Amino acid sequence: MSPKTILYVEDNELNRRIVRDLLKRTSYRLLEAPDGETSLDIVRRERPDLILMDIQLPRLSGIEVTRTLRSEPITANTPIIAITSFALSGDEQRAKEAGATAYMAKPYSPRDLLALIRKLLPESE
Amino acid sequence: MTEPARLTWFRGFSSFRARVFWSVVPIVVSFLVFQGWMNVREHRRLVTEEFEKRGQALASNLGYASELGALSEDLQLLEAAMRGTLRNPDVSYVLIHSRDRRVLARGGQLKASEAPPGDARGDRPSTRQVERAGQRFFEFVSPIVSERSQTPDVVLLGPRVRPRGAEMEEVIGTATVGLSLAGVEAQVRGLATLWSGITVAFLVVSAAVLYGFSLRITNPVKQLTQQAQKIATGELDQQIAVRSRDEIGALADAFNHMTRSLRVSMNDKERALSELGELNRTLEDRIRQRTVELEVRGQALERSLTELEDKSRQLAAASRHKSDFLANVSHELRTPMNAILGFNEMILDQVYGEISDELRRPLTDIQQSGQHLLRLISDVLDLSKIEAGRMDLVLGDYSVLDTVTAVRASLASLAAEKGLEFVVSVPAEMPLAYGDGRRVTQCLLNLAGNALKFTRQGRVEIAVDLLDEMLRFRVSDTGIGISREQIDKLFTEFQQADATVAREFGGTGLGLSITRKFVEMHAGHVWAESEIGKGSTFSFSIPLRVKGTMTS
Repeated sequence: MSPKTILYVEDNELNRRIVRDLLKRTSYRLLEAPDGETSLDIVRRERPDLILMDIQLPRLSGIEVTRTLRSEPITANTPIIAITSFALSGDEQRAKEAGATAYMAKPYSPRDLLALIRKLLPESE
Repeated sequence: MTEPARLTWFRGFSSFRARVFWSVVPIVVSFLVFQGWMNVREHRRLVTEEFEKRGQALASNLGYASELGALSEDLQLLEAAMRGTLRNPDVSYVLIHSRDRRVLARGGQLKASEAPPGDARGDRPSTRQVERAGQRFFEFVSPIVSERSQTPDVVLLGPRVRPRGAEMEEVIGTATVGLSLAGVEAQVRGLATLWSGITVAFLVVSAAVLYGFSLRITNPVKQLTQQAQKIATGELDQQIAVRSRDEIGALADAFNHMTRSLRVSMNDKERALSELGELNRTLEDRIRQRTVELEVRGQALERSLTELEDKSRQLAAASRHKSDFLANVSHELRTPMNAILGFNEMILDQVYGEISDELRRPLTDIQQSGQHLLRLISDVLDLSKIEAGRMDLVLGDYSVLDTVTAVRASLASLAAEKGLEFVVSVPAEMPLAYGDGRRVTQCLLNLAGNALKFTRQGRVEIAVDLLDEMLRFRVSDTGIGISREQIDKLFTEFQQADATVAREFGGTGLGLSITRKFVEMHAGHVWAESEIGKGSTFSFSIPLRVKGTMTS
């Protein structure tokens, strides 16, 4: 059985490394996209099982990407975890409206994030 | 006064006078003429009547007197009879005719050649007017009657004693008496002249009276008019001499009174006007002065206002900039904080391999300090948002139980670390609340966090109750407590009960300020009760269901 694929859309290299390190010991396969446009290409090509979407992205925002993904048949039901920058800024509300499955406020605890991922996308045995 | 005006004026009054004159004079004249004519006529009639009676009587008398003379045709007797008649001054002439119309005798101013023959109708008395030698005369004819058997005595005693119808009398001639009309006519003429004189005199007198009368009316009117003209041109010191006590006099009186009043009021008016003018000038000066002052002040004020507006704009901009800056900063801080805390947590979770116990301790400190720093950043951001008026509540339904449970969950580890009892109590039947659940959670988290922070031993309790649609959250502890004076300061920004407290227990002092603001945005209020050394209870109450949209 092929490993489950997670796409992390995030422009900051440090943050990408956190998730990269976090998932190293798991069976998840991690794909990374530095911006919205790239993420859409990867999604069409790789069809990830879960998407971690940072809301604050250059050019195309995470909200718009999420909305686009939800409108496409391939990703209409793919779990999307929105990473919001302000816990109380209303971003999570907007993310939910755009179609995000769950959200995580930045700074997030890697431990909590991994728990959420596992909850939404159980690791294949 | 212009010439046409004067002419018009005169014409007006002369026509008035003429009207009076021409309405009275013809009546007077016609009355006088008629009266004179009637008078003269009547007089003439009377005089003529008298004249005729006298003439008849004279002729009759002469007839009787001439009886014997006529019978005998004795001229001497006849002349004797005529002499008596001629003695009457009015008698011009007398004539005695025989039965056969011959002139028996004549007397007076009548020549023999002029003596007419006897009248054919001489057997009865008659009267006629004749003209002889250019003169008009009244001629009276009386028959001379003879009684055949009569004696002179009978004749002398008069015919009246004779029995009527006796066939004894006989007309033997006629006696004619001529009376001149000159006397009568002269009398009538005199009378007519007198009447004419009276008429003319009356006319003159009445004209004069009328004229005087009309003058009495027109003069004061004329004066009044002149006066009025003068007054119209502003000469108010005019008075009309009041001559009569009638309507004209009253009019003049009234006019004088009016003039006086007018003068008084004109004087008053002039005085008032001059005072007003003076006042106006003064006022104008003052207004000008004041205007200048006001302008100067206004300009200064405008300048100040402009400056103030600029300042205010700058301040608002600065405040916005500060808020934006803080938001940006806090966002920028989150990325490195996320990295620090993320990596540190993963180290602690031994993602990178096993760590020694010695290393675990400082790594835990890093984690806690990082969390603290994050809270500070969060608080500063919230407060700056509230201050900038950019904080909006996100209203929606929320579960009070979920709120309390979330707070308990996030603080449970802290309570456990400090060995404190941490309990929550929420009534079983709690309806859904409406408001900004996340902010309510934040408030409760702040209060409970503080309680745990300032309590060394004992317990911290969160209790919720619902009374009259008001939710009341109570966080009580068995901590160090705060004095009454310090409680008042507590909810102000950056205030902690004691600086040393901050050092010992940490915290920014922002939590309570933010809590108060969020509670107030929910139309609620927050308060605290405490006893030094025994503990504190921090409470806030908000409506179960908030109405409308609340902003800071």
